[in-house]
Amino acid sequence: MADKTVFLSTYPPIPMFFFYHLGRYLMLLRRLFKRPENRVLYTRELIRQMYTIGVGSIGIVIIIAVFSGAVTTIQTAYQLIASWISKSVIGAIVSDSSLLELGPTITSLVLAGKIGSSIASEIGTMRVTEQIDALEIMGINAPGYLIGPKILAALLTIPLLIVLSIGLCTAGGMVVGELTGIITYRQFVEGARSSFQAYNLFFSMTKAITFSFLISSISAYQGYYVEGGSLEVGKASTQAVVYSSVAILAADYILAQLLL
Amino acid sequence: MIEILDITKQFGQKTVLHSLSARFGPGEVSMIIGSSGSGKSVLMKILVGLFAPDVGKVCYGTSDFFSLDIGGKTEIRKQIGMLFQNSALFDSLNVEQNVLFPLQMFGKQSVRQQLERVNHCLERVGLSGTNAMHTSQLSGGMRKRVGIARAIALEPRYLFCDEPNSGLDPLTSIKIDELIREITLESGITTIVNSHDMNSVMEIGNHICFLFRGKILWTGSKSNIMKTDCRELNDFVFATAFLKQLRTLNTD
Ligand SMILES: Nc1ncnc2c1ncn2[C@@H]1O[C@H](COP(=O)(O)OP(=O)(O)O)[C@@H](O)[C@H]1O
Ligand SMILES: [Mg+2]
Repeated sequence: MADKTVFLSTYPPIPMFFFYHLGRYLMLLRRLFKRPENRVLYTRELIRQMYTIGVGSIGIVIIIAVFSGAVTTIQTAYQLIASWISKSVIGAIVSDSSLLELGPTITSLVLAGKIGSSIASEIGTMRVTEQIDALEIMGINAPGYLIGPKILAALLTIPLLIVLSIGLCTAGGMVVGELTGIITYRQFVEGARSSFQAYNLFFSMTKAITFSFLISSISAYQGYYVEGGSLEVGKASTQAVVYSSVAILAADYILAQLLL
Repeated sequence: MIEILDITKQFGQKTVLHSLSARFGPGEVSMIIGSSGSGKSVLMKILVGLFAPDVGKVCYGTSDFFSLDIGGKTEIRKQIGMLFQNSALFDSLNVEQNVLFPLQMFGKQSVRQQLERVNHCLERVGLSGTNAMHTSQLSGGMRKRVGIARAIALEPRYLFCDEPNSGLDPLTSIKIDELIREITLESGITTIVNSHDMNSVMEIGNHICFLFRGKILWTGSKSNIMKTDCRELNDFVFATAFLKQLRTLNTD
């Protein structure tokens, strides 16, 4: 009986909760579209963010891409045991999965952890230490100055990281195939070429851009509305990772439905 | 000149400020005093426009702040400097960059003039030569000074200080108070200071509003605060047993 009342009392607020946050998120995004008070400072902030978000993530992107490509080659070979299937199919599968899923989605999920938490904690700390209030009082549009350059930097750098990731993922698969004797370079390239479609590249880049936007904007939102102290900043940064990962997966599904 | 009329603010069901009205004049330090939780910070945040009141007006000169459009608000905000309770320095920037920031954002001067202004402000608060220090290397008193330097960089007409003495030793507190008073007098600024520290009230309080549970119970100056018969204010002023004893000695 008690369980039922808890259920009834907690169930209705869930959609409310969702729409409350969605509304506040969209209203925050709307505040980004205001003319910068000073172009030079905004540009400087953009460059700083491109450096932290982009250059700062190259290492982890390389590691993840190479390993996921390598593993995909080995696992595909393991599953394709029928001798009448040409080996070049492995090349086709590895290069296509790199392009469609491993490159954009896996990389974005990892970046949601790395970039998302750092954006949320940076902005959240500025909120609880009143630095955001200080900006507002100076007459600066705080969302525009703090969030705008981060989203723009993410949109400019994450797709490039994803291109890098697609390349290295395919290359990782190819090299491991050759080293383990599963498939030669020549067979791999033949397979990759035969299955390549320009449309997939477009689809992959659409995903990359969408995910970049989701990671940066959701994390910024989580940080911007922190109330309390360092404990809450930590919580916001965890939530940033969780919500942007969920949003990436949801968007991944929706885009696949719409575009494939 | 800043005037507030009938300001009321609620958070949920809780009324934090009950229809407050007051005037704060130029060239003097007005103080809002009261114990923790009495609503000083909320009132100050309404004054500078970070919170909107549920009822009431905040007038800067003749313009009603909350009825202005964004452009009008920005114009007024450029004339406001604020020192935050925990200084709120930008911790990704060093001392010089912190003070330079508002100048770069809005200033029309050349880079050299801006740097001269920064050095002038730092000298004014007694921090010459600390330009390259990082904010994490500063003591509490130095942080407040940098906060003041940043607040006065754009030569504001209005200066707000939220608990400028919190977390400082008595000697440093007095120095910060003196600095605030001098700067106010020098440039005829309208200064409003939140405090619960009686030392600073006696130091700089030309014009004092006593806030108790969100109501202004008393206004006056430091010369008559000791003789008030407002009971809540007496409890606040003579909070310690030591002061109470002194008081009975005095009246005997
Ligand atoms: N953002 C807020 N949301 C809800 N309640 C608040 C908020 N800010 C302040 N309050 C409440 O308002 C009251 C006055 O707070 P404050 O102005 O910070 O007091 P102080 O005089 O110590 O500066 C407190 O009871 C506090 O809990
Ligand atoms: Mg306070």
